[in-house]
Amino acid sequence: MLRIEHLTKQYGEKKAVDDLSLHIKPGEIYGFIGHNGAGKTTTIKACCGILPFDSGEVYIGGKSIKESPLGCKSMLAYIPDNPDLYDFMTGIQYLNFVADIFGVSASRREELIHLYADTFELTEDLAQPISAYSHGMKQKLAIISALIHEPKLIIMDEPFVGLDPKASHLLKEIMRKICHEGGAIFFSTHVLEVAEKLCDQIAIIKGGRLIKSGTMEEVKGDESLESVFLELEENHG
Amino acid sequence: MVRVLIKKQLRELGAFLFQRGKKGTRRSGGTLVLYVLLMVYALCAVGWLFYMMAAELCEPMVNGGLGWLYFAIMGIMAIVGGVFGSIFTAYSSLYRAKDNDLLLSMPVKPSALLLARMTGTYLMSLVFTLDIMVPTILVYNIKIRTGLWMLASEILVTILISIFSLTLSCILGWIIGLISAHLKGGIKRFISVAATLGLLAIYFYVYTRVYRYLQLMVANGDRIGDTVKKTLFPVYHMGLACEGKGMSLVISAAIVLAIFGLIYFALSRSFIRIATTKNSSVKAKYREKTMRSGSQPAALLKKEAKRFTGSTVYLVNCGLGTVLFLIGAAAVIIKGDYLRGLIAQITQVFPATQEVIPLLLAASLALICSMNDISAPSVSLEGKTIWILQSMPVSAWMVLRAKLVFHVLMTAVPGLICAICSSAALGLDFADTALVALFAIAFAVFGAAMGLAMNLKIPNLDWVNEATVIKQSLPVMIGIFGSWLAVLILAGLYFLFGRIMPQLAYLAAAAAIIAAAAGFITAWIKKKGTVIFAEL
Repeated sequence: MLRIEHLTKQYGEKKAVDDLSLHIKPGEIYGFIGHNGAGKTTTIKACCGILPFDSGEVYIGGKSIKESPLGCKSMLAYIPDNPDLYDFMTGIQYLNFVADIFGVSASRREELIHLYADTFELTEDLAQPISAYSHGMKQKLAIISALIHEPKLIIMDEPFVGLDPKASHLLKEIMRKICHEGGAIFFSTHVLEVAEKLCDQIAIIKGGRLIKSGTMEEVKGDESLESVFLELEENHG
Repeated sequence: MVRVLIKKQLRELGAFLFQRGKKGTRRSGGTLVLYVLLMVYALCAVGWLFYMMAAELCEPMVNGGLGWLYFAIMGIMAIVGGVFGSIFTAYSSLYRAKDNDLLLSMPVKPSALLLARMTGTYLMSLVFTLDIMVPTILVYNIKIRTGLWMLASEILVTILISIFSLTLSCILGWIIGLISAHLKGGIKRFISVAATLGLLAIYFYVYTRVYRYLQLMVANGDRIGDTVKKTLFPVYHMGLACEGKGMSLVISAAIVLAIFGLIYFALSRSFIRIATTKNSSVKAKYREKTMRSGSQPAALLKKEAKRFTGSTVYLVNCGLGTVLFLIGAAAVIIKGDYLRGLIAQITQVFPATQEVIPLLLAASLALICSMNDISAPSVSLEGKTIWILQSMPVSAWMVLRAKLVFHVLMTAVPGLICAICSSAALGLDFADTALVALFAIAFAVFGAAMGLAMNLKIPNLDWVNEATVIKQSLPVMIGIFGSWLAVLILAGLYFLFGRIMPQLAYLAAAAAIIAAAAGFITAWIKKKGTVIFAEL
């Protein structure tokens, strides 16, 4: 579903991402782990077509993000680490805007907005302007907006930050459900316990380079993910 | 601590002036020079108006022994100017800065934070005060020779005036803060827009009658002087202080500083409460309704409309042309007979005027078009939300086209109504009316394209307060002054070619030139602007 091939992105002299290759298959939850400034957000933004990259390729559903950006974007949903949304819209206006852009039919959006807004307990607040939302509410709205167009691939940057425990739990369930139905999820996180419990595959990145990837068993064996991560960080220092 | 906070405030201003985009690279020297030149031009243009007023008042008043009244009148204008310049940003600068929570969580006294916030408002107020007081002092010193002490007194009074303007702006900002905490967004915006339009109406009313008032003031100087002496003694002393009277200077300084101190103390006490107040109006509960789907272009256009109508600052500063077109259309219908009579009188004396009426009307419409600069800050206003459009399956051209179309709709439609009403009121024939209307539409598209292109070239996505990109950014200034320049060039060309070309043909050529320029800029946006947008 998402294939990253030799991705390289440079900011001036500094390589933020260096020859990174990953493959996320349909039905997989893929965790992306690394310290602050390791290159996770840059990779994610490059995959979503937000950030141009210097070399390599990113394919979504077999289409190149460089060659066919709109085709790729119509298959994916992106949830950033900081949900800066349109403060001048109400929650429902924002959801309708997203639905219009992704061409979601009236009846289907009605059904999905009802379902996810109820799930995340946001229905009553949908008439409020987004400027009145808390960080967590904005995060929930960003998640709902990502789900209502039923993407095949969801790319998330630190999706659990700002969510209350119940919403975090619900999001994890939804992530599993999407993967059961053949979708794929690629997300970055600092919460190693979440990655350990949730992910089918993980990749660890340091200084823009991939230092380990594979299934959870392949990466951590019998140890905890935390100790493996710290060890890898030290060895590749 | 205050010094550190003021430094931060000034650094924020410096970053806005000198840095570009999220990469934080410095603006090029050329851009900065252009910015400074445009600022200087704007200040000189306004300063010139006040120079002319001062020149009208100064000599007769000084000769009549009322030099103090000259300074008092100009001083009051400077106070009003200072307040006018800073009032629109006072509330947001004082109470709505994005780093309020961060700074309030630090061991920072609210009074120190308030003082630092006041710095930004003070600078705005100072610029507007200087724009009036510098010509005032200049005229006085050219016409009447004065000593060094008097000049020093005039400078000190100017500083006092700027502090007093700041104080008034802060009081108004505080009142807005108190009111806005209890109002719904829509009502708040309506009141703000109505108040701004009211202020502008007063401004235009006074402006159109200013010379009559000046003559009345000169003629009745003694009576006005007596009244001011008896009822407005601080104003009297302010005038005397400018003439170098030491005691009056002390009295003026004491009054201004005492009021400032008092207000500063009062505002410090309520600062945290207002800065951290959330809107307490009753929250609307969402009720599910039948939904309707729409197309991508319609969704993007609706988004632009919501962005525009959702912000008072945007609405008032960039949409004035729309309001003026509609008011103009109504005015020419109501005052049609008067207008026709006036033109008949003028053409009796100067028969050649009849020919240039369509040209003058087209130029007026173009100038009103230039007061709509909706597209000029529209890219910058995406700010930190730009990821939304960049991650969606819409092309950059579709996004930019929506910005262009919205600007054109908001300008060309009311412009067309105004053009038709004005042409009818002035008795223009069909061909003239059609050309005037075509010219207005072409100019609306030209303004939209130029503003958007400038914003793509000079974007600022890192603003803390949206007022900075709406009111003080280079794209907005270039958008407005560029339009004026275009009108000036066309007027200049008319003086060159007007004699060899019938006015109808000239108007057609001018419309074609503007339409071609608009087409050229739009093509640039489609080819290069889209790449810039995608990489922002």
